Amino acid sequence: MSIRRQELSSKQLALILLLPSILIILCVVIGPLVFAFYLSFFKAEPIIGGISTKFIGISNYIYYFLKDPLFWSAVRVTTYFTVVSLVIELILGISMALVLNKSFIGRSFVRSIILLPWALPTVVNARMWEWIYAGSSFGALNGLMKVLHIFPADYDKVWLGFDVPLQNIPLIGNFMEWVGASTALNMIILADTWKVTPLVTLLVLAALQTFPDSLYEAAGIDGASSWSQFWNITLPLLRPVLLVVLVLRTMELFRVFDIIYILMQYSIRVVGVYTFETGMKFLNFGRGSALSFLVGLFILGIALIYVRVLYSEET
Amino acid sequence: MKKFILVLLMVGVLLVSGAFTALAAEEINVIYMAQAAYQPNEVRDMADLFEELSGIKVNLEFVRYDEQHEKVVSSAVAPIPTYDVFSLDLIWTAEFASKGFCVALDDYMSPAVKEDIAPAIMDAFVFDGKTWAMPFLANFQLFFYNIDMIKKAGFDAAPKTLEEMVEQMEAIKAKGICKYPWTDSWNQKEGLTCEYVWLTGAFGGDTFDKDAKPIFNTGPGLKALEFMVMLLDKELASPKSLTNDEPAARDDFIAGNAAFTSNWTFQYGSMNDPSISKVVGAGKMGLLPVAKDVLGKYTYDTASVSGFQGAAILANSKNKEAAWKYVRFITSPIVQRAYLTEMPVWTSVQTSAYAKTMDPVIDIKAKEIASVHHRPKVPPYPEVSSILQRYIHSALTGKMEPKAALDKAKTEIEAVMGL
Amino acid sequence: MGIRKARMKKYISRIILYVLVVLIVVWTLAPFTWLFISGLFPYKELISDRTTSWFPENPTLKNFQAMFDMSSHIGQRFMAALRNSLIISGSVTIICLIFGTLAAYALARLKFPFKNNIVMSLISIRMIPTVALVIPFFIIIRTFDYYLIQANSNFHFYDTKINLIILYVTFILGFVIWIMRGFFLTIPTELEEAARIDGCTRTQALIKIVLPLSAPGLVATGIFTFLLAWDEFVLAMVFTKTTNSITIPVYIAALGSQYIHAFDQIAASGFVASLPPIILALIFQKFLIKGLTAGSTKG
Repeated sequence: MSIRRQELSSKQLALILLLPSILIILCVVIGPLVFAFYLSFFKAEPIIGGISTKFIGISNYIYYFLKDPLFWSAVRVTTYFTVVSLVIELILGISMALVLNKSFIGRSFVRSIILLPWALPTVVNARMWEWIYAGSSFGALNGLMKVLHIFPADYDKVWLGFDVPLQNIPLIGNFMEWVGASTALNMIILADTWKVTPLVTLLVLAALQTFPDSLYEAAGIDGASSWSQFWNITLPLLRPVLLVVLVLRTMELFRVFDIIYILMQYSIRVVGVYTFETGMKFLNFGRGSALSFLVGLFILGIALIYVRVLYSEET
Repeated sequence: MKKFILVLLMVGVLLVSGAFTALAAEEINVIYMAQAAYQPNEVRDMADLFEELSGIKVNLEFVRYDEQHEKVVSSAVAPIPTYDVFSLDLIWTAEFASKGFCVALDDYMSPAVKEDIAPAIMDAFVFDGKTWAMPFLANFQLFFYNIDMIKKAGFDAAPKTLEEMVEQMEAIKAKGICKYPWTDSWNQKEGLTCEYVWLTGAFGGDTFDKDAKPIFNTGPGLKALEFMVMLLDKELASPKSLTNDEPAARDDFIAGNAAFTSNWTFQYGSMNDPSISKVVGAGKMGLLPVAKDVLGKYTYDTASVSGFQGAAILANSKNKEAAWKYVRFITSPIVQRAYLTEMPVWTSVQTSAYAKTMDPVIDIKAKEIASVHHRPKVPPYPEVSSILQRYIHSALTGKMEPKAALDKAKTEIEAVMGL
Repeated sequence: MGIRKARMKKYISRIILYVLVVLIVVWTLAPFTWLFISGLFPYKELISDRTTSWFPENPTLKNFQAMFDMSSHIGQRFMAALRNSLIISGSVTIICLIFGTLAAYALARLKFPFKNNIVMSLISIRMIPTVALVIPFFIIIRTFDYYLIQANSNFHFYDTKINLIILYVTFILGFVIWIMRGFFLTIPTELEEAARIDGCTRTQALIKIVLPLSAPGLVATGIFTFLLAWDEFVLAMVFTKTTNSITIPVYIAALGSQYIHAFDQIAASGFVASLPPIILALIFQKFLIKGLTAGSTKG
């Protein structure tokens, strides 16, 4: 070590370290997104040997916002999927975390196996539930319902069917129909929740473990019930982690595609499925791009909120 | 028996193969949809034999029906030809031909070939005066009925008209022989369009006119939808029909839950398979009934819908000659003779004495196939069909009146087609 | 009396707790166990009435064997998909770790302009749905391939593993940087400063001090990356066509058909396909949980 090379300045080093990553991301994510935006002003479709384009201004956007009934129904059904999933995931996730935070025999075993659903590939998850929901006598859920005597022996429910839940209750039924809820969608929510809840549980559990016991001891002496302990102490302390889960999951739920496409193809049009259908099935590249851009923009918006939340927690 | 046929087949093909010049290291990629008809191992068997005879290596790829369209399109648009041969569902003929995705095969086909295939089949693959695929699989819907239930209800034969069928169904329901006499695949997928097309045919018309303009919102098209809604309203059709796909409708029927259904040819095999069917012997296959007013309009007084598949060659294929050889081979009469579980496309095979001894119902099939109605042959077919499915389904579920639903569907379809 | 009542109450709450635990275990394991058992059914038994047959009478390994039998059609495709998935996920993991660690280090330690903006945009980009990029990707890759063919190149993107590797790397890289940055922030700067006083350069300090200390983070991030790449479906579905490049999710999604429910094959291959991620997740679960919390809650 006779001659030490002159050290690079902070800025130069940062540039060298960051450049590859930024280049990759710029070329492969930002580029295409800008391209999608550009393409959204055209009527574009593939023909042999290339793509035919015709400039049509903002017609594609006008189409979606004013003319296309499917666009708004896609937004509604995606919102339904997102909201219902979020509520169930949060309630289930917090409850499971509270249970797993107690001490019991085999706790570390249970804590490790709850990772299993989360590690299962989405496609496998979808097809596994498709098989469980099979609408005949060989479907596992139908079998279970019959064994538990919830269903009569000769009845087989079509779990992935389109009957509207709560249809017969006035107002609520109409609302459900308007949102585009169906038994199939609810069952898909259940399947997706099964896979994702462990993530929520683990995040909440990690937060719970950092709480000092002294907090609860004081409350215990005051004679507060467990419910009020949870409501007044635990929940406020969980606020930061719940906020993170909320924003993170909203983003992931809103862009749902895989599980719905695999189970229902195009018959439940959430925004992701509708985008794919427009672009890759109907081959309306221009319209599909407009839709892609809208979806991308929306998610990017939530993502920015998320980052701001994280930053405010950090400082 | 099967081995014997295979040996015969081999000998026959060996002779034919004199025409093939064995080219080393030639290779073609084929994408085929996995469905009820030829099973992957059967297609592989055909390809193996072809490889041996021609020296052309065949790589086979199977995908689900729902993905086939996207896979083929993305391959057709790409500058790299991933596939050479693909199975073309007849509903894509107009779209693929108008966009130039596949090659017109007229120059390859000899006049003898064209003469031996019934026009009802060949026409499905004709667009703009050219033929875009070689017919491979002749799928179409047939009528299935449970003769035991019909007899129990006090009738002695299967219905010939829709009106008779409704009468029988009402009797069957009234006597408690089965809860829902009719089952079908009316879920919001391509199957629904198919059912609607044959029913429109049964009421004496077509969904689109000769110039490919939608006309389904009046006359036969409207009657067909009203008929479907009526079956549901009177609880003659099982409410499960609304979510059934074709295998689910078949399962309903072969479990003995329904007296009547319409389905593709594949149901015949399952219906007579004692390991899964409870209606062996009682389940019969016949001609689909038509409305009373329509009697006499069609040669065989029946209407069906076509679900043909052809073997086509992608326009960006680099091996069109080899691809054609393969297409010619798998669609040849000699191969189709060996797999008579599927309806052969060749008239000479359909009417051969051999086919008649092998397949006792080939007569019914031949009549039905001559009476098929095609789904509309329009370039933006996927979108058109998707709109139809949506509105028909909302009429079936009672969300819209039939007339209003069809009017709305017509307006949207016209917008898509730029009419 | 009071003591007895208190004890009673404690017993009851223990019992409730264990009931809840059992419920959680059943809820977690039952679906996956059913998937495995289904793989052991011969097809005829698989489609029989569930009220009577939850276990196969004549269990068979046929479905599992078929996947590894290279002479069969199923075997060739499954093995190709497995191989492709391993190659793609493995490469993506390595590439992401290398570039991601470098970038994360810069963002955690160095001072430079626009730092916060870069951090923000990285994590936001990871959130853009792939489905929204499919159309532009499709056109761009098509164009590249077109010119590659014009130039008589043997290489092209369509239907290759390299194409998927590049696409996956970009989607996962932002995430890797984000998590690794979180880990680096937890390592005290004093250690590095001490090393630099001893005459190490920044790079040496990174390699000798920081990397060994963040090994758990690297493992966790690596596994995340692997799982994400293993799981991806949309891009793989659009850009893979043949056994050259099809991945496990594409293979499994394509099983069965319009008229046949191939649930025995789906069950068997689904089970096998989930083994790599599940085993990885269970072995390294301690790291993973740490990584999860570091990546999503800390900055």
